[in-house]
Order: sequence, then structure tokens, then C-alpha cells
Amino acid sequence: MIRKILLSILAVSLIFIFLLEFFIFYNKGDFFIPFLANKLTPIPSPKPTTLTLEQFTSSPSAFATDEGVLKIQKELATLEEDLDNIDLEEVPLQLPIINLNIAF
Amino acid sequence: MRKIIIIIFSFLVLSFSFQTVFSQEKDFDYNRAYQDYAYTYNQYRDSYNKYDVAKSQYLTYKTLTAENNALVATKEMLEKRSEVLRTYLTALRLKLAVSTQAIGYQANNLYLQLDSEVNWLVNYRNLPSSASTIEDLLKTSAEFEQRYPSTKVIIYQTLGEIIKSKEVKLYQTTLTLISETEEKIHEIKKGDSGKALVWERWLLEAKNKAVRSSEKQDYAEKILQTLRPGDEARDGFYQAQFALKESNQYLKEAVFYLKEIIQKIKYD
Repeated sequence: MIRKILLSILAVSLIFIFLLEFFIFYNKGDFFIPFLANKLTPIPSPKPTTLTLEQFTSSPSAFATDEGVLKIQKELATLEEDLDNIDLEEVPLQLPIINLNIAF
Repeated sequence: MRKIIIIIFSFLVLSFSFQTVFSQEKDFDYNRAYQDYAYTYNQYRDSYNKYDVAKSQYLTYKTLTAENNALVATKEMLEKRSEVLRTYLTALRLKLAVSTQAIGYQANNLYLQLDSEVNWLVNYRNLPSSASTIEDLLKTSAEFEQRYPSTKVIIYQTLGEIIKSKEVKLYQTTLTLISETEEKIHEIKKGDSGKALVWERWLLEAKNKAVRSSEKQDYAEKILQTLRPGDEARDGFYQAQFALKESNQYLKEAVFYLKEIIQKIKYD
């Protein structure tokens, strides 16, 4: 008698577990047992949208073609080049290595 | 008639030779002087190696032949050593003339000192050949070695003056451009004073950078004036050189501000 009862309980448990698996893994049964719901469904991430930058265009002023301004600009370019290329080392004129303390 | 032809011919020959000598003197510039120095320096290195070998042989064998060979090798080495310094100072003097161009007190002073050293070396050149013993040669060598530290001070001061003169030229160009930019801003300001405010601020920054550059140049000058014989001369020269590099950096920053002003004037 007791054996029959145990067997029936076991059968009911197995059926219950089978049904549970079915609802969880095949039916996504979060409506059935919410705390065991499969939460591994991918959530689509927002897609990045590319911004199109507007090209900055400056308008030349009335002095853009002024002779004086252009002259200064040209001289500044020359000066900048001279400042970059200035030789403050004078390597060829470094002291010759002369041997002193000549003795026998 | 014959005498007249001879006189005219002699005159032509003399005038041609005069022109040849004169043009040769004109051709003796810094590049030529530097080539002489480089050639003499190589000769000195060779003669020093020969002296080194002869000295080792003499110290090892102590024979009369070894002593004579050592004497000859030492004479040649000492002559070449003084020639190296003479040709180097000549090249240095010509480089100073090319770099400074404008005659200043400091450059004049250096010319006199360099000429004095060259004259001393010209007189010294024949001393080693007149020595007949190694002891006499060593005494002659000691004269050169005693004078060399003070010569080094003059050399470092000249090198410092050469690089400083380059920096000063660029500084003066920068000041000219600052002045021209300022005039242009004033001209534009008459029409519209609003936009000139930013430009004037940047112009002030450029002027401040130029002032800083000038301070560094003065500091370099002060160091060069107070060089002393010994290792201090070399260290002092490096300090002056570093100060001039800082001065150059300040000028670059001043130019940056001026370029920004011009850019704003053109595209505002």
C-alpha cells in the first residue's frame, strides 16, 4: 500500500517536472513560473546612427586679399621656416680634440 | 721703341699677377678655411698616431734610434697640433664675420682676441722644429698647453656669439612683423573696433613672448661674458646655448599668435 502511494507520488513528480521543463525551455513560460523564466533572450541594442557633420565654411573678409595682410602672412611663413631650421648647435665648428699633457 | 714694348709688357704681367693674388684672397672664405682646417685635422690625427707608436718604442727599447724617431715624430705632432688650432681659429673667425655681419662691440672684441691667438700660434709654429731634445720639446709643448685653456674660453665665446647673432636676427624680424601687424589692426579698427579686441589681446601675447625671448638672449650674453677657463667654459657655453633654444621657442610662440591674428583678419 505504502509502496503504491510512493510510486504514485513519484510518477506525479516526474510528470510535473516534465511539464515544467516543457514550459520553461520550449514555451518560454515566464508567464507560468516567472522566477525561472528564461532571461537569456537577446535584447536588441540600439543601432548607432552616424551624424553627418556639416562642412564649416568661413567667408573671406574684406581684408582677405589686402596686399599688406598677404605680405605679412608670407613673411610669417618664411620666419616660421627660419625658426624651425635655425642651427644653434654649429656641429662642424665644435672644438677639435687636441691631445694635451704630452709626456714621456 | 723696344724699351717701350718691354715696359708695357712688364706692366701687363705685373697687373695680371696682382689680379690673380687679389682674386685668390677673395676666394679665401669660410668654406675654404674650413676645408683647410679639416685637412690639417686629419694630418694631426695621423701624426699623433705615429708619435704614439714612436713613444711606445722609445719607452720600450730606449735605443738612440728609437729616441731620434720619437723626437722627429713628436716635433711633427706638435707642429700639426698648433696648425690645427690655427686653422680652426681662422675658420671660426670667418664664420663669425659671416654670421654677425653688422659690426658690434662684442664681435670686434672677439676678432681682436682671435687674431691675437692666431699670431701667437704663427710664432709658436717653428718652436718645435728648433728643439733638439725631447725635454726641450716637452717644455715647448707645455707652453701651448698652458695657453690652451684661455684659448678655449675665446672659442666658446665666439661660438656663442655666432649662434646668438642668428637668434637676434630672427628676433628682430619678429619685432618688425609684430609692428606691421599692429599697424594693420589699427587700420582695420578704424572701420570696426569690435572685432579688433581679440586681435589686440593676441598681439599683446605675441609681444610678451618676444620680451621673454629677449630676456633669454640677454641671459645667454651674460653667461658668455663670464666664462672662465676650465670645464666651466664648456658648461657655461651649453647653458648659453640652452637659453638661446628657449629664446627660439618663445619666438615660435609669438609667430603662432601673429598667424592666428592674420587668419582671423582674412576669414572673419
